Amino acid sequence: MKALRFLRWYVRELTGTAAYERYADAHAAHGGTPMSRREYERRRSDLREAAPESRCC
Amino acid sequence: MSRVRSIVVWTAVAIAGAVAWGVLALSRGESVSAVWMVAAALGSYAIAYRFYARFIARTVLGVDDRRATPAERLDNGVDFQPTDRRVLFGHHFAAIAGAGPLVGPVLAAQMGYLPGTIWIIVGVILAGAVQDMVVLFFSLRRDGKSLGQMVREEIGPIGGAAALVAVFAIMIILLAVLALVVVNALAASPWGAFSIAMTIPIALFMGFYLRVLRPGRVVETSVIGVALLLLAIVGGSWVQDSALAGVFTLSPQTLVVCLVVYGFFASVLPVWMLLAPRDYLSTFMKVGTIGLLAVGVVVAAPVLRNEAVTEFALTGDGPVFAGALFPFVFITIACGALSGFHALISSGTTPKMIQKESQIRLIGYGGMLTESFVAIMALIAASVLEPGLYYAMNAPAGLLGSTAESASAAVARLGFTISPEDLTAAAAAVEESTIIARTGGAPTLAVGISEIMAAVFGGAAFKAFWYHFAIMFEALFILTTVDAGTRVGRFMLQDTLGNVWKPIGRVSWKPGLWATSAVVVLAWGYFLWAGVNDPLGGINQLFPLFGIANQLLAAVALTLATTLLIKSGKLRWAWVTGLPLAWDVAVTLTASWQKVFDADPKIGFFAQRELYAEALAAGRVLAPARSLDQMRTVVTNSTVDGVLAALFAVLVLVVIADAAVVCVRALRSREPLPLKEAPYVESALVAPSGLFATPGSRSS
Repeated sequence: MKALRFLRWYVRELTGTAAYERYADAHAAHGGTPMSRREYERRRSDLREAAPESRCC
Repeated sequence: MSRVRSIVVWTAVAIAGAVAWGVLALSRGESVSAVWMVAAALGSYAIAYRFYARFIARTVLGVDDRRATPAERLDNGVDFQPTDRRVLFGHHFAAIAGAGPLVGPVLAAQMGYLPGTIWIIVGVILAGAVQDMVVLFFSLRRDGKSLGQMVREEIGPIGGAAALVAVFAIMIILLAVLALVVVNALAASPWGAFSIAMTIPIALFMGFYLRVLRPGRVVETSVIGVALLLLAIVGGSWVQDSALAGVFTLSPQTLVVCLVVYGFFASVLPVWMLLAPRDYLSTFMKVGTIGLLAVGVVVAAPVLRNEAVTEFALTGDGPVFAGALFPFVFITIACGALSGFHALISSGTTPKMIQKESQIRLIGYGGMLTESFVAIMALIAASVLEPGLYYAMNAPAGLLGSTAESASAAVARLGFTISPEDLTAAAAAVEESTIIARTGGAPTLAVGISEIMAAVFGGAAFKAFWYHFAIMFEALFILTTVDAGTRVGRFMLQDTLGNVWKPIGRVSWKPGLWATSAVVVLAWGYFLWAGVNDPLGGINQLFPLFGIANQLLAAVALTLATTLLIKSGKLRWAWVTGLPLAWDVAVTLTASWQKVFDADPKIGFFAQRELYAEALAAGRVLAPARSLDQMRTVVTNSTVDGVLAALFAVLVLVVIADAAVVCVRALRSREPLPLKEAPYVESALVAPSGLFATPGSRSS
């Protein structure tokens, strides 16, 4: 059970699925209004445009 | 762990590893199980990680967890972001490991399994993993600066410029050779070509799904993508037997055009549309397949059919690639043992996300050990094949001819046996029309994997599925590298040209974007085209160049690391990077020297040029060329390849000479030379350093 929980956490973190929740929680804690998920993800993927990651052989 | 228990456990690991090495090294003529190779590798990795990596991190580099990392200091939630070490390990591993560790060992199996095994394991422990970790550390101390920037700032502008040109040129060769592996795997294979072609609509669909329908649901999207991918593999079998087969039976030349066009679009389309979803697919497949293969090797425990050391290791006239054991095994296996390209990733995104300095051991050293393990599995997959089959697949077409009979006869001349019937049966088992001269390593690996996997999952009936599964996943990795590499190359070009003419440096200016993308794809496209049309065999000619380029990049990285150790007053520890550097320089410069100056036309590019040019002038056609046009092709290719080999070596020598001047200055100076390190800031973050949190770090 613990291993499964870890796996779920790991996959969500690795793929960035969990990024929005973390962002929204952090915003809520500071009392601000976070972006919608759609807007947030769009901005996040557009930022990748400016800094391409190399993939090795 | 109590001290006594720790001593007992590590002694047991050492003994198990030593026994495995003993079995591998001393067996001659008896059958050796692949499990010994796995045991030797894992035992050695464990000891290296526990002792050597810790020594480097603590004593040589002096990692300091009280010092805030760039991720903590510059956290902007985008590129700088403290990330859990295990998650970052996954990111880093996905970025460094691709098709390289799968291809090189397969080709190097020509020398037998032992030289490759020793180099992969010893090389990674003393050189490859050290490079990755040390570069990661130095970049971490410099706000995540890139290798090129660090060379410029810490060594000098001349070295910096040479490093920049070297990185760009090396990237082009790397992309061309990887693309050539894909072309060779897909040519005249409607099943393979169909399933790979399907990855494009699948990726586009995933991109659309993630962007519009379900933003951010990457796991769900990837699961759908992987399911579609498996369908595409199964569908390939159906396409092969249908009227559509003709459409997907492509010549190598057509495939080159397809790849170049695809590379261009992948570079100019928005990241979300093609590149990002492909990356997710490729990562899922990578982790899944490598895991499956590890299980397969241990459960099936196949017997190695390859010799420990073949005759070609001594004579240097093997058909897969020419040249003697030294230096060419160390050139052919780059990724998995020592890969300079990793220095670009260790000084790219990874250092901007690390929470604690001590985590470089897990991420840098551990990540590279994992890649090395992938290389060991590839070597196993190639070594479980019958040698006769191996050579029938990996010798150039010019040598083998196109029929099962001619190939069987050619293999017999090499000193191995495979009957024409067995060759036809081997092709039929994986449902391919032919497997003769399917060079490039991917098809051989796929046959090896299908053999191992079919023994565990599905039996002989599943061989064709596993073969195409393996082809698909290799091609997928490579295309992801081609996408990303073209993009990175285009960025580098835009950045450099932007210094001369401003508009071209602007990422948003479309004509500049198109022009630089076109330059990059045409550059690697040229070598790819030359490779598929080379009568001497593109892989045979270009793979050594790729290995040399990759290892020369490692020389640049290790030169930087050694210079920085000396500059920071750690001369007594400079051997940690200095020794691998000396070895790497000896290997690569010997190989470059031979490739440029050797009088044997099989090895030296210019000797080859001379031989063919003279024959051409006399109007004669030399085998394996079949026409005067092909003779001209050989002359052009060997000239270009020779010039390139010389250029790489000169660029790296410039960097080393520039660094040597700095080192001498550092040693003579009373005051330590200034370092471009970011200032010390106290860290407020708490995070464990190893894979598992210790009770101490948990409570704090």
